[in-house]
Amino acid sequence: MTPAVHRLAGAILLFGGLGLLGAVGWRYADGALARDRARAEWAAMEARWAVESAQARAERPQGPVAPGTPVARVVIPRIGLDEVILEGVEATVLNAAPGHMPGTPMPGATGNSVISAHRDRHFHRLGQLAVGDTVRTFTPQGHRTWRITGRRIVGAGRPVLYDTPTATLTLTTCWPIRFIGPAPDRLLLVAEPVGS
Amino acid sequence: MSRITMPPTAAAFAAALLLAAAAPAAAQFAAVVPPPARPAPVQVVNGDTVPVSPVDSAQMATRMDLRAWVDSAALALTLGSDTAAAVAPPVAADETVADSTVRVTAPLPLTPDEPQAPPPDGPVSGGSVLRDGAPAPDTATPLPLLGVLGSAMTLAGLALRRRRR
Repeated sequence: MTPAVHRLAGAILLFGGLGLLGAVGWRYADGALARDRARAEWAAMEARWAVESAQARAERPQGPVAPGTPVARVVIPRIGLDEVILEGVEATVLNAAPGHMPGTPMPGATGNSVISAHRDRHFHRLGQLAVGDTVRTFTPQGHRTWRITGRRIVGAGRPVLYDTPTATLTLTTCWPIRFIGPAPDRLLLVAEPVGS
Repeated sequence: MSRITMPPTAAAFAAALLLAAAAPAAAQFAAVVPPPARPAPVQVVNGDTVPVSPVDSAQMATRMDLRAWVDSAALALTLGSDTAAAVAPPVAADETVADSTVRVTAPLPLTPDEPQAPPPDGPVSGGSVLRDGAPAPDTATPLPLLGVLGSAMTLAGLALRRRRR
């Protein structure tokens, strides 16, 4: 190859690579900003509920929740996870925070509540959890402690989510955690409430 | 002043048309006929007939004990339509009212089409109900792959440009 071709190929690769890195970095930065906004919004909602509770006129949100609205907070002490959960599992929602799957109950209510997040962001340490670990969820209706009772790895398109007669929490993310490209499997952690 | 005349056949046809159209046309003039006076609403309490003012809603609500009815209806909503009739308060004969507009004394039976009360557990998220056997949400992301590709392209480009020198 002539030096001119080298120079041209080097420039194309360099600027193309920088463009890709910029796009990826912008996507991560946008998610981080949205995550901060969700945290601030959740904190403001908690403060408002505290004031309303003190004034004995608390009005908890009822009815359908708009996508992207903070609906809960999940804390997993073992892996140092503390995230605000947004409603929905769309790409924009999951880019900012873990998402609550529409159609499933809120954590703590009767039924199977499903929370999902990306393996390269908020749930990047979810694979370190094992049966017996503790999960805490906070919603406008109260907080609840869960104990992980099941851990499964299934194919991406496999039917795995079912409604349950009792309160159940299911955390999902992609698997393997360290995988270049769209991961082919899903990691599912099923938790049951501790106590009443 | 001219006089309008028509042949006998046309006159007969016009008369028949008027007679045929009279029945449906009469419905349009029914509102002119004053309806019969409605009897004043009364309530029988302990054997005494007490007139009830149809405009005094507060008095009506008190005398009909609507609060108990609303409470029983709410209880029936929570227990389901099957038990609605079972929990309906008994209606005593002396609590009935002559006016048809205030005759409701027991909760109406629920039908499946009626909206149900929201579950007490909290807000229900939007979207459809969870379908049994649904796959896990699509959390796959190409960002790690794009990041690796971008890094590799940048390094390769730098290497090519450095090699040129």
